[in-house]
Amino acid sequence: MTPSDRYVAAAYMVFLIVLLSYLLIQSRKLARFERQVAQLEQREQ
Amino acid sequence: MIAGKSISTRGTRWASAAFVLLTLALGLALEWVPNDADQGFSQRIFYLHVPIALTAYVCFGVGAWKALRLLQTGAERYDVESAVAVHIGTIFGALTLLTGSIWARISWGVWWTWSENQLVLFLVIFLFYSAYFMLRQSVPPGFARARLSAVFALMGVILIPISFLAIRLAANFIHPVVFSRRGPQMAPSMFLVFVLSLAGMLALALTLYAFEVRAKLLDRRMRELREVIA
Repeated sequence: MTPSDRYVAAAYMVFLIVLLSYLLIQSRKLARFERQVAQLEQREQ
Repeated sequence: MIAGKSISTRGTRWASAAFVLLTLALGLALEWVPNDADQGFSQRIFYLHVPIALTAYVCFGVGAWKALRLLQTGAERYDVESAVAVHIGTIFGALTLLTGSIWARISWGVWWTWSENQLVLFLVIFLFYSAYFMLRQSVPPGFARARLSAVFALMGVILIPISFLAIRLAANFIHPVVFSRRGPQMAPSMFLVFVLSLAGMLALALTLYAFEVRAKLLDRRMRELREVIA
């Protein structure tokens, strides 16, 4: 693997780690919020 | 349940589309497309860097459009939608700078050069939109903050065409130009992979947008419910 190839791999890794981690964080946060809202709506009723 | 539920469902569909398109595009970019005549294998960052940059521009454009709708109608939801679009644009902007810097290191031997207008203008746009969040944090939530943020988002969008054209107006052409008036200056296979990658990035941005708008609406609903219960 040449140094150029390593840089290309680094760019792909940066993309995958940053955006997919962010997507995972957002989807988990969304699921937690939906659970909490459902619980609060039950308590309100 | 609040009206944003369909946003979450759409977000899941966009997430699936983004996964399929990006897996296909990035797999083809690494294995199928021919090596570039000048830059060889390292040119494959193009299929990542350029779609990310274009997606950042689209997000900032959407942020400005929602800001304009807020100023026209005064509807509060446009403030949330504008802020989320700018937020996603800023994330894609940071990635543009990171992947661009890696490409610059391979092609030019430097991580950054201040002599290239395209790079400096993109950094200015990124810093401008980073300041957008400083503004939102420094003003109490309410209609005044929404209006101030909307004006800021609209001002930022003026920088986008300047940044886009800088590459063509610059005297020192070290940044590659692949899209000219005669169309894309690349092999059809390269263009196909580029289009797939761009579609995947846009689907990913839409997914993040849908999830974040939905999360903000739920957060607001939670605060309302807590006030009612208390």
